[in-house]
Amino acid sequence: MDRLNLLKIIENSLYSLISYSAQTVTKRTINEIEKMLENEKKNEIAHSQLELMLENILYGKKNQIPVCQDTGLINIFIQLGENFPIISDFKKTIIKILAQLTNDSKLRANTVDPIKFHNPGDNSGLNTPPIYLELIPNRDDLIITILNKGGGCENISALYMLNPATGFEDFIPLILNEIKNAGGKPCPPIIVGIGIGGDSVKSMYLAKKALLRPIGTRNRREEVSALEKNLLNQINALDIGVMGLGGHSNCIDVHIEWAMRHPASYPVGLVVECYSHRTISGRISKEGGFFMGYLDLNYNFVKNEDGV
Amino acid sequence: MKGNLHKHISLPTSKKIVYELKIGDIVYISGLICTGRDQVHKKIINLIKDGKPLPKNFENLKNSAIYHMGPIVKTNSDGTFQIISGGPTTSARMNPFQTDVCKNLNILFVIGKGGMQGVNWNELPAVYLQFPGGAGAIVSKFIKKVVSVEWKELGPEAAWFLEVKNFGPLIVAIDTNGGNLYEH
Repeated sequence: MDRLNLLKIIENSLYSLISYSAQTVTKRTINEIEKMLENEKKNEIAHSQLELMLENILYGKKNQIPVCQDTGLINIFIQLGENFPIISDFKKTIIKILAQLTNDSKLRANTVDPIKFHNPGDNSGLNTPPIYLELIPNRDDLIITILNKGGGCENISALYMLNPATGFEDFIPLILNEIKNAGGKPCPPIIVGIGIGGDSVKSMYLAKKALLRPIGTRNRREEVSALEKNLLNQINALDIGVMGLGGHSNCIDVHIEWAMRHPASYPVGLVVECYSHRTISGRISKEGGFFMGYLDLNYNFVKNEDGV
Repeated sequence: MKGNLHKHISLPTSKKIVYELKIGDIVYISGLICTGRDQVHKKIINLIKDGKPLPKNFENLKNSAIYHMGPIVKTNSDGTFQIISGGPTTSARMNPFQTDVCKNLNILFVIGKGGMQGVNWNELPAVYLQFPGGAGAIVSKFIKKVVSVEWKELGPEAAWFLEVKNFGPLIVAIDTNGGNLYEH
């Protein structure tokens, strides 16, 4: 396929993916909220909030409007096959599509100058959107994953640079404390992403990337998987509740990723996601085929017409 | 938590109604409300501090409600506005401004999510009403009209004056008697 046509397909795919993402909470997240609704039958407040949340998710989907007015900073994760024919004009295309989506009321104008507080009104500006690019050897396709990251939950992010000798024991109480203090602010039931090791930036990146894994999947490494389950139980034992209104429907899942660390450092990154978990992936083949789907446990693309 | 009174409130209303509401009560609101986030709260406070007048529109909020929300707005071809999605934002960001804003505008209801600290609800008086965060799409059903907008250059962070009908269910989450559903 020639370059111009392929670029047009990338443009259209980005438009579809980002508008779909803003309108759709993942199926696995909805399933977990439905389970919580069942468990909270006796807690009238929690039950009514969960009911409204589910009703809203259906309403947004049916009417094709953003489920949450905070369509987030559009986090874009790109897996670029090294043999994919186009490696230029990506950023230009992304910026153009974001402006179009904002103009079409599919996204809120969500970029603000941190010095002068000016909002350009089209999701543009310096160093935005956050794009995370990975080059994938021996591949000739392009995988784009969208994560709508709202401000309320993103504000609960944290980075801990711990003492390596005790880092592994120290970070769990720190994270529990952070989440407890956040109360209703990140819109619980939340999803928790954690990155252990690497450097400061890598641990934060892994914490965010961990949110792309399907709900209910565990890390491949046994110790890390056990830690995920343990933390999930401990967070749900806290007294926070749906939207901070009391009860134990606090956390939908905990995902942890890790990286080798420097001998002197023990970084732990925390990124929190709200219950309105909106992520979708798309694969574009070099022939111009476009498929929607999601990333699996190993962050590999899986085709799925309905999303996950 | 003993409440669960279901009440329809037409704005503007009376302080008496506000004193009567208890945590856990469910209310549905109709009438004129105004959105306000960090920027609107800060602007109001700064104008008052500098002894400058507020835009006239704010006078219409007497005995009404402020809603912590930044909408997705569509501009129609005739120049009118339409709210596409508009759920509450995190109210705690307005903690330092809320008391003064309520006092100066005579606001009786603060609508948001996640609760607030440092506001003397009894003295104002005012109550805090919670709608689930993220539930933005469904709110568009309750918004009948965008009446006007102040400080439009702020985009979603502007003060959008909205006519709402049966907006709810809103839970009374902080009342004038010290009741607070976020403290447990």
